[in-house]
Amino acid sequence: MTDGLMQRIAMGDSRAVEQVIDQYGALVFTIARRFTRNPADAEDAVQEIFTDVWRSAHRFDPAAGTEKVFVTTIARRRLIDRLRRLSNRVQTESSDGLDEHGFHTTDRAAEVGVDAARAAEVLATLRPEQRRVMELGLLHGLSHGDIVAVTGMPLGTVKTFMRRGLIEVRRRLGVPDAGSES
Amino acid sequence: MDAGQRAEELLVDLEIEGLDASESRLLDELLIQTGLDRNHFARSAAAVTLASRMPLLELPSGLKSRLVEAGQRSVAQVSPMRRRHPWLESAAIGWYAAAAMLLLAVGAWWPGLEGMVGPGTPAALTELVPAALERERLLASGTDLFRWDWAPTDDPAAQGLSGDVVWSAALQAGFMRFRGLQANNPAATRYQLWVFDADRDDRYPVDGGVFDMPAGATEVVIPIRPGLPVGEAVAFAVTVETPAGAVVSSRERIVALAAGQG
Repeated sequence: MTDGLMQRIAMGDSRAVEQVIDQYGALVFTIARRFTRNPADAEDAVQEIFTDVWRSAHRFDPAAGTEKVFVTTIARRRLIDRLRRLSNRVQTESSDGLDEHGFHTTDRAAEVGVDAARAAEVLATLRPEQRRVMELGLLHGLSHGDIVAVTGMPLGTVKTFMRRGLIEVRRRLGVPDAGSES
Repeated sequence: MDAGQRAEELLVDLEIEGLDASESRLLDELLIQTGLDRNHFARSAAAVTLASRMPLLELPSGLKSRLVEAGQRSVAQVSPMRRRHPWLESAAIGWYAAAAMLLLAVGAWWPGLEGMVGPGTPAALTELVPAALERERLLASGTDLFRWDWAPTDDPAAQGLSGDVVWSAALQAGFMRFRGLQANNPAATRYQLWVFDADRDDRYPVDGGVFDMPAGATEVVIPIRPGLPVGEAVAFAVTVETPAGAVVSSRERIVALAAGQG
């Protein structure tokens, strides 16, 4: 049971810290490893991410997604910031090391969470090349330019694939527009 | 390409590779025009990330120990402000009880913003343009900044209000941007900014000074230069006060709050 961990952190309950790390530590470390060059970089990044989680816990809004989504969003943002700050975005001109793990099938919602299952539903409907673009950008932390280098697709196509894919996922998640009644 | 499409493009870039200062400024402008927000694609990007079949790696045990130790230290320092969060829910009684102490504490710093927009003289829009340029420069500096959107309350002065706060802890300065904030008559009421600091008791928010909203202005940018140091800003609030401003706000009219997003 993980509901309420962010609220407990926001209220200053330090006993919740280890539970948060037990629950999300492996997830954050796995995402960090994909975005960084080596384990040492990943460990530094994970420490930055959890520092942000403690500071941001009071902003968690259950209406905007689960705690897992909240922590993942913080992890992604911090890793992207870190890549820009250190100017060491994973450089690649080939697909070496960019294994195609792919996405979950759509029947594992209980295991991966509702948002992830719905995203998987959308991803399953995409053409393989569009799915690959989203995998490289969102799972491996490649920039649009890096995806061009890896896939040989035109930049405009890469950006269009990414934008349309995210729009479809957003629609499937039923995310309300800003300012609309939620 | 219309503003919505351009905003969407930048919002995708934000989730994939981040934005530079000029792109971030452009996005700010487009978000105001379109009503979108910065987290437009955040949940979708996270959902796709979580849909990965890639097996989870085990957290190194040494790292876990360091995370727990640092986390417990950090969380234990959460301020009373955050424990009770936010001040709309907190007891106004504390403010009244603190009035005497606060009067002693404020000393000579009052008022922080007085003179930026002359007392009793709503500024012409042209007088405010330099503030907008300074805000741009601050955003372009890129580091140690956050930008939080205003959340309007039900107060009549806030109907249609939007805008944001940009704050730099290092510079101890920032800017408020307002669209749709009702113009005030400085002879009758003035707006007042309060900055909540994680390092201070929330009964004693730092006074950011008073300011006016000129009639006819579509967008106004106002500098923030608190008279007291702000350790870690956790929220900003705007109240309506008497022409002289308030040493302790009654909180009868809270117009807007900004407390950040995940």
